[in-house]
Amino acid sequence: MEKRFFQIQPNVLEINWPEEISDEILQDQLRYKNYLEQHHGDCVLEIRIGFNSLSVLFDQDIKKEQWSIIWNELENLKTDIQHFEPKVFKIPVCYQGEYGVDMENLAKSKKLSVSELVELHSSKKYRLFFYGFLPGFMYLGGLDPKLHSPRKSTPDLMIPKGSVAIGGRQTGIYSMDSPGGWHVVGRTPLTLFDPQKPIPTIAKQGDFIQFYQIDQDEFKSISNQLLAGNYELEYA
Amino acid sequence: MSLSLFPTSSLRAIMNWNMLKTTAYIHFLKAGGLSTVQDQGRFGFAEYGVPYSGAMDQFSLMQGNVLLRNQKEAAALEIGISGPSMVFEMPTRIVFTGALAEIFHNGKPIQLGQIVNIACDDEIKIGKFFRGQWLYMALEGGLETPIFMESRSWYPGISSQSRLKKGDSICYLSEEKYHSDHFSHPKLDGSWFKGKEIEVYKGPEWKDLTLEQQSLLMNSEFKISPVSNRMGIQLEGNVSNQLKEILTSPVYPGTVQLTPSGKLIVLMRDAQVTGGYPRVFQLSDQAINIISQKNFGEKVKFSII
Repeated sequence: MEKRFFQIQPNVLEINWPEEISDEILQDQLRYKNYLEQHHGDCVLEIRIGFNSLSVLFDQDIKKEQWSIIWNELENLKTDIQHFEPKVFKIPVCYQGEYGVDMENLAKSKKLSVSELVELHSSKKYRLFFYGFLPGFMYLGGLDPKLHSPRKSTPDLMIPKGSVAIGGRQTGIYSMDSPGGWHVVGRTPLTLFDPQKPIPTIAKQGDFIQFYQIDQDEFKSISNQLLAGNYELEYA
Repeated sequence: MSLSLFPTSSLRAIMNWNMLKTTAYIHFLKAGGLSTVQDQGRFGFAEYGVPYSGAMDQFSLMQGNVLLRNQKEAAALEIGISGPSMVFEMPTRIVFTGALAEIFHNGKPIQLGQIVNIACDDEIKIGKFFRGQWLYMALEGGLETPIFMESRSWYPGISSQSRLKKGDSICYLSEEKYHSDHFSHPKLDGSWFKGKEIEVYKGPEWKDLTLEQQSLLMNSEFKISPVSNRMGIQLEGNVSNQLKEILTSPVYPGTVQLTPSGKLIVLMRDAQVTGGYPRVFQLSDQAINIISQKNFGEKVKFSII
């Protein structure tokens, strides 16, 4: 796969893959990130990832000769080594009532029944490509094309934390209260970003998210378990 | 208390030896338009989608900490738009840097860069801003607000507070130390952020622009729009844009995005970590500090390094 690099700032370099969303690019990114952290951790301060890009912040300005050595190492990384066994996280979602405020309108515009929409949304596994937009907000790939829907022309001023929504070709979970233009179809009682924890998120880049339907009573009961600290997140 | 009445040097030495730090609070009688606690920022958490945050004008934050011989990690109060007023419980020393504004210590005006000895119950009041957007109040030893993800910078959803409110109190450590009065201090007049020129590097999508768009971006002056905050500064003016959106990619403070409607947005300290608009420029570190201090309506011009 053809890759290019670009120097954004004297101490920031970005690697670009062809303009597409694919697991192949994701695998490349994971290998690169892993390698840079393990072998150049002393000079790499931070790595940021997009669908087809990965940018590296160095602790000082990086010279052409230094970078060409690193670039050469990255290009020659073996592709057959799998560093990572992805997990599948099961996220409970209540699609009913006030939790899915835009559900009926969206189902109507898609000429689907609510239960068909729920079925389409919760039957797929979604790949976590990276975090962005908000702390703990997952960029998920794999939404059924039947559910693709343009964002609202006027964004809502406040979408509550935990809202599960559809926007464009993506689905996602609002990890905190935020304005937003996506169609809210449900809500999870889970907290997906906790700044008090050493690792503030649940899933890692490359993992999968799968939604399963719960009703309002189950929503309340999970919320109570979370408060009491005895809820166990399901994953495989 | 007059320092000339202070006893002999031997007694002073005992006091130094016996130096105690006491927890004290600054009480805010008025919060001001946009006051937050900020430090250098929150680094190393971008992989979870966490922005850097930190002082909009890192240069002025650093100046304040240097003047007080603080560690560079020390947190300061960032004051925007209009001024708060506050009362200090216990002695400390403070210094103001950044924007030019009216600052009063117990009713008497003080200057930027002047180290001010604060006694019990002293009042600081910030009045009008003359030029610049962000004023910094550094305090000896730094503000002692809670640390979240390795930083004291306030950001909604991460720190417990995200904006100062009337009646809030902020913690610091008061240290009884002998200080001579400072008669001289650096003249900070904000001249460093006066110029129009904003130094930039070409962004990753610069190459996708037409020659006409490139020359427009290099040769035009752009006005700072009032639609600006800690996340980003919007520039007025239109660059006709036929570029399509890009796949969501990394962005940084200082990234200049070109929106589908042809507006330019300079991302600032609280900006999200990824974005989908073409990235046409990247500001140098000092250019981010300069543009942060530009008032609404001021003009800027990009100059490629």
